[in-house]
Parts: sequence; C-alpha cells; structure tokens
Amino acid sequence: MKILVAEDDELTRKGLRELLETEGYTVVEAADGTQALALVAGESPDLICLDIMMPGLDGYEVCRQVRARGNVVPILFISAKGEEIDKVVGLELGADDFITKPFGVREVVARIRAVTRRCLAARSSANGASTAKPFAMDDLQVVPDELRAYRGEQTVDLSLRDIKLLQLFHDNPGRVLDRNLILNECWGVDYLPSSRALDQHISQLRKRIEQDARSPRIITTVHGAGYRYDPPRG
Amino acid sequence: MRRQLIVVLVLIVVLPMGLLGWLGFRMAGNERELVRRRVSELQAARLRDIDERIQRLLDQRARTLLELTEELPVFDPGHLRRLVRRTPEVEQLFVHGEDGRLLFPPLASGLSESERQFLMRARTIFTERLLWHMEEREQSFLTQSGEVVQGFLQHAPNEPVQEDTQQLVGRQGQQAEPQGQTVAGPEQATSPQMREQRARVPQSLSQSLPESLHLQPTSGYGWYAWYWESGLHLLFWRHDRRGFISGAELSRMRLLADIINELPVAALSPASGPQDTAGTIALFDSRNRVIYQWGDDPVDAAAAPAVQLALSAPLGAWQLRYYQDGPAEIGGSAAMLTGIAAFLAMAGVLIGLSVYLYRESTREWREAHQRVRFVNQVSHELRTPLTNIRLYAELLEQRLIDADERSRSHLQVIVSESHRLSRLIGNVLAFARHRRGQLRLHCTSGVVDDTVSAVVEQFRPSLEGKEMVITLTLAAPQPFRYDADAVEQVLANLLNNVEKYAAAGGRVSITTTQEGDSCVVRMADRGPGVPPDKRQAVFEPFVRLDDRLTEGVAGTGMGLSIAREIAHLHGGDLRLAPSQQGAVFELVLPMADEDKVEQ
Repeated sequence: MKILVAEDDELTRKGLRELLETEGYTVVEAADGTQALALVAGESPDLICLDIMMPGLDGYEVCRQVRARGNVVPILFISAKGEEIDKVVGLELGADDFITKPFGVREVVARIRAVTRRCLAARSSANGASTAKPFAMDDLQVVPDELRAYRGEQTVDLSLRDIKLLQLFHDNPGRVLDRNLILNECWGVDYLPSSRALDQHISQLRKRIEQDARSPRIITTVHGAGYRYDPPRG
Repeated sequence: MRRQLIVVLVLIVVLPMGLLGWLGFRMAGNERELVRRRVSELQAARLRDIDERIQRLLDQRARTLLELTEELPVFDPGHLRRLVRRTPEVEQLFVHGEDGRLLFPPLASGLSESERQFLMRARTIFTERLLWHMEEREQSFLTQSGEVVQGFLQHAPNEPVQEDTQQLVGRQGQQAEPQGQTVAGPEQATSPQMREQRARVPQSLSQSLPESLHLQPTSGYGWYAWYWESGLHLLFWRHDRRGFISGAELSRMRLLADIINELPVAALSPASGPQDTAGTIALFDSRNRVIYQWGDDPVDAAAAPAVQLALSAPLGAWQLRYYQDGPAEIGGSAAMLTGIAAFLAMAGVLIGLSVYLYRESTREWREAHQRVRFVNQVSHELRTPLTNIRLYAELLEQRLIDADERSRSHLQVIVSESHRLSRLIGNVLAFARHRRGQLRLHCTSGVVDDTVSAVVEQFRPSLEGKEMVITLTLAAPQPFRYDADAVEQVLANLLNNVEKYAAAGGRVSITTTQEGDSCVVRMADRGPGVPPDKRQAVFEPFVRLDDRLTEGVAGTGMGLSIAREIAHLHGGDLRLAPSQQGAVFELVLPMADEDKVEQ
C-alpha cells in the first residue's frame, strides 16, 4: 500500500516516513498542498496523511479538491489544530480520521491500520473475492484483510509488513528463507533496512504472535542461514 | 449582531443630527423672521415719522389758511384776487354762501382763467353742496363722540352721507398699519381704509389756535381732497361766523414742494442701527406714480415694498413705500452660521462617540479574534517541535529494543517529558483561548476505565522509575458521557502530585467504581498526606496564570482548583477523603443524562 504524507515540517514528514515504512507501507512525500494534489493525481496513493496548516493550499483545501474530483481515497488529518471545530470541519470535508499533534507513534499506527483494514475490506468486496485469504500458522489464524491474527479469543494487531512476512513464511513452509530474500520480498528494493533491523522486526513480531517468544514455534531462527516456518505435522 | 450594532450606532448619529438640523433650520428661520420684523418695524416707524412731518406741515398750513380765510370780504373780489396772488400756497380762494350760492369766484362777473378752471375742477363740490354736507356731519360727529374730532373728512362724491357718518362714528382711534394697505383706484378719492381713518385734531393744533378759532359746535373746518385729471387736489374749507363756507384750494406744486422740503434729506437717519440695510423710500400717488423718492436706485412700482404706509388724511391716497436693497435674506446669516457650527460640532461629537462605542463593543470580538489567531499560531509553532521530539523519541525507542536498560530509561524520560510538555501547552493554550480560564466541557460517550488506563500508562515509566508500585483496579466499564480530555487532565494532575509529594510512600492505588448514578475514581497514596488545616486550602485557586505556569506544585499548569472545577462542571466533585495515611482523592462523576452535564 502506498501512503502520501503531506506535511510542511521536514522533520515530522521524515519521521512519519520512517514510521510508515517500518509498518510496511510505501511512502511518497509532499511539502505543500499544491505538491500533494499533484502526487494524488500522479501516484494514486491508497491513503493520505494530511497536515492542515501548510503553505499555499492548506490541508482543508486539498481534502476538498480531492473529494471534489470524486476520489474516495482515505484521508487522515494530522494537525496541531486540535479544537473540536477543527476536527468537525475536517471530517465534514470528507476526511476519515483526525490525529492531533503531538501524537504518539502507537496512536498513528493504530489509526492507519484501522484505515488500512477498511481499505482492504473495500477492495475485497469490490473484487468479489478476497485478495488475501486468511491462513493458519500453527494455532495462529491470520486474517490479512483485518491486519489481525487470532489465537482463540486473543487478538493480535499486525502491520502490513507483518502480514507480508507471515504470508511469505506461510507460502514457503519448511523452507529456510535467507535475510536477503525476506528483505526483498517484504521490504522491497526501494527500502532496504539493515539485517539488524530485520532481526529486530522479527523479534518484535515474535513477541506478539508467539506463545513464548523465547521459544518461537512459528518463525524459527536458522542460525547462519535465515528463518523458517515449520507447519505443525498432522 | 455587528450589523445590528452598526444600525443602532448610525441611528444614534442620524436621529439627533436630523433633529438638531431641523431645529437649527427653524431657529435660523425664526431669527430671520424676527430680524425681518424688526427691520420692518424700524422702517415703518420711519415712514410714520415722515407721515407726521407731512401732517405737521398740513396742520401749519391749516392754521395759516384759517387766518387767511377769516371773514373774507366776499363783496370785494379784487381784494380776494389780490390775496390769491399774494399767497403762493393758495391756488384759489372761494366763498360759498349758506344758500348754496357761490359768492366767490363771482359767477356773475368775469372769471379769470384760473378761476374758471377752478370751478371746472370743483364744480361737483359746489353743485352738490358737499361742503355743506360735511359741515352737517361735523355737527353730528361732535355730538355723538363728545370730543374734539374735527379736522378733516374724506368723502366720496357720490356716497350717501348717512353711511359715511356711521362709518366715521363707528371707527375711531385707528391709525394706518405699516403694511397691507391698498391704495384706492384712481377714480375714487377715498378708499375704505381712508374712510376708516379717524378724524382728528392734533393736540398741538388745538392748543395753538386762538380762542376765537377754537372749535365750536356751529363752526368747523377741514380739508377736502378730490381727484381731477392729473391727480389729487386739496381744498381747505372753514365755516365762518357769517354762515359762509370759505376756503382755499392749495397749489399742488407748492404743496408738493413744501412736502418735499419737509421730508428728510436721506431715507435713513444718521443714527441708523446695525440692522439697517440699504433701501429706497418713495412717495406714491394714488395712480401708483412716484411723486418723490429717496435713494439712488430707481424704484420699480410693480415690485413689492418691504414696508408701506398710507399717509394720514387728507393725503391718504398717497403712500410711502420702502424698498429694500440687497438680498432678501437678512439677519439670519449669523444664526445660520451658529447653527451650522453647532451642527458640525454635534455631528463630530456623535460620530466620535459612535466610533468609540463601536470599537469598544467590537473590541471584545477583535481581541477574541486576535487571541484565537495567536493561539492557533502559537499552538502550531509549539506543537510542531514537540511532535518531532515525541515522534523521534518513540522511533528511537523501537530501534533500541536491545539497548541497555539505562539508555531505554533515558529515552522513556524524553518521551514522558514530551507528554508532560504537551499537556502543559494544551492547558496554556486552552487558558488563552478561554479568557479567565473559563473551562468548557466537550462531553462524549466513553468508558472511564479507558481514560484512567491511558493516564496511568503515561505516568507508569516515571512512577516506576521512582520505584512506586501502581495498583490499578478498574471496575467502571459502563460508558457514559464525560469530557475524556478534561478528566484525563484531572487524573494527570493528581498523579503528578503523587509523583512529586508521595513517591516516598512507594505505592499508589487507583480504583474505579460505579455505584448507582455515580462513577468514582479513587487515588490513594502513602505519602505524607495533606495537613488537616490545609484540606480545603489545597483546592483554593492559584492567584495568576503566571503562578500556574511555574514549576512546582502546578506542574501541569492546572491547580487542584481547576481540577475541582472540571468535576463541578460535570455535576460531580473532587474531594479529599479522610485517611489515616497518605492522601486519598476521590473524583466523583455523575453518570447522568446528557441534559444535566454543562457544556
């Protein structure tokens, strides 16, 4: 999924980019409203993170023009203007959600995941069939469209990248996947973190999906080679 | 609202100004009228003065003629003719016998040309015995009025005697008005106004006459005026002891010359006042021809005079008229200027007052607008770097999963402090937005347990960093309407106090319960607690915003007073519960209907 981040403050924009790419999204940046509108037309993002107070066209105007063109892409306002009236105006203009600065990383991630779920569900219903069917890994039931996994009554929220990783391992049962392959498949050629970052990501993922992260059963480490998913026998 | 205000202010200016303008206009008009009347009165007085001069002349002439015609020797026509020639004021003498015969000029003997012309002019007088009729009227005049009223009578040649008598008896004491008198037509010797004129003897004349000439019931004298061709002719008559009526026709030219001689040289006396304006006085005859005028400019007889006065009898057919030079509007200019000055001054005052009132009334709006704009700008400027601090701190936190505990702890400090700074900025901006710290709630349906959890999680790192144990017992799952942000700030304030004052106690327990219609959040620590004499004082408001911003007790920028105010706005309370150890704060929120919560 591609996310357009429209934010005039460079530091905030770069920080959001890093956060969203960690989540598994492809990010395009816009520094003002005019550039944002051009990128909406040129890049067709799946989601827009839109600051309000930008030079030239402000976020409200960008949202209005996007909606005026009939584009229903999800829009998430991220702004220092946090009064109720500001939120009401934004939502009335057609935005899907509103985050007030300063925001927590977890809050942004949670809201973007929520919007992503709605996006994926809409795609599934539009296509008539699920683009990614739920699958099971050990006792974990992974539902890609919901960006969630279930173990009994326990629910685990997953990022897009998490889904990609699990999907990759699920599609390659019993096979050792080296780091380069995993990076290529799940991070793409445009964004290659260090292998350490990969290890950290898998470590974090294990904490959420494994019953015991110190003795993982779904994603196991093959020292010196990579990682592997061993489906349960029988 | 602004439009209404502008309309009201415009009315405040326009209505009084309209009234003032109208009053000023009226005042100027009244002033002009007043001045005009004064000038008219002044001019009328001058005309009356001229009239009196002419009357004195005629009185003098009457005295002269009384002496001259005392027992004229009617049977010596030569003597009488010589008398005529010697007396330039006299055009012709006459004697009229009581049998109606004209004794002089003698009809039987030859008449001179002037005598013939005289007879032609005065034929009707003698044939109709008009003088005899007048003499009879003189008798009745005296009898009925009982005073000396002889002098002259004006008489229309063909009018009944009785009528004239009645009119003359009935109207006494009236003098000619300065204006409004119309002149009789050229065919009439008299006008109704002239008939109304009171016959009088000037007091000066009756006192100066010799005793023998004083009026007696059987004697009389007077003037007779009539028209003949070229104009007015004047005849003096008297009744002598022999029963004759004798008299003289005055020379018109001589009379006119004498009248002109008696008139003032200039139309205006040297002592004219400041209200005098330049003008022309003219003497008109009954044919509306100028007999004489003062002033340089030729008089337009058709023009309306400013003042006019008919001369006293026997010249009542003549009129004095005053024509004013210069603009018709006199005297009101000063009042007009004063009025305009007052109008402009008042307009200036009212406009200034209206502008001041408008600015004052909109000042609150403008200040609020500026405040909101400032707050928005400051909000954006403060929150942007704060956003970056928090964002990058949390990103770093994710990267440093495997970092040592100390590094992670430092990062947590950065994150928690950024949270605290965020709350502080939020409170400052909220205070700036709502003047005097008036708080407003934005209530939405929510679960208190979620709010409590969120605040506890924010403070967990710093509290655990001070080796405090947090005991959380959440039992308020039922959603109800409350302002989550405001309640979060209350709880943050309480936890901040716990962190500052009760960390040594090592424990803080937070419980939520829902009992009946109330939801209670209870926070108990094991710190030193609040001294009994300060149990109410802790809720007292801080003095100024500045105090609230300083580090110290008011770390979050809100005192317990505002925390309690938030509770009260919800319809609940924030109280300090009795405890044996530490401080126990209870936040009570009613789980009421929407209507009961202030918004």
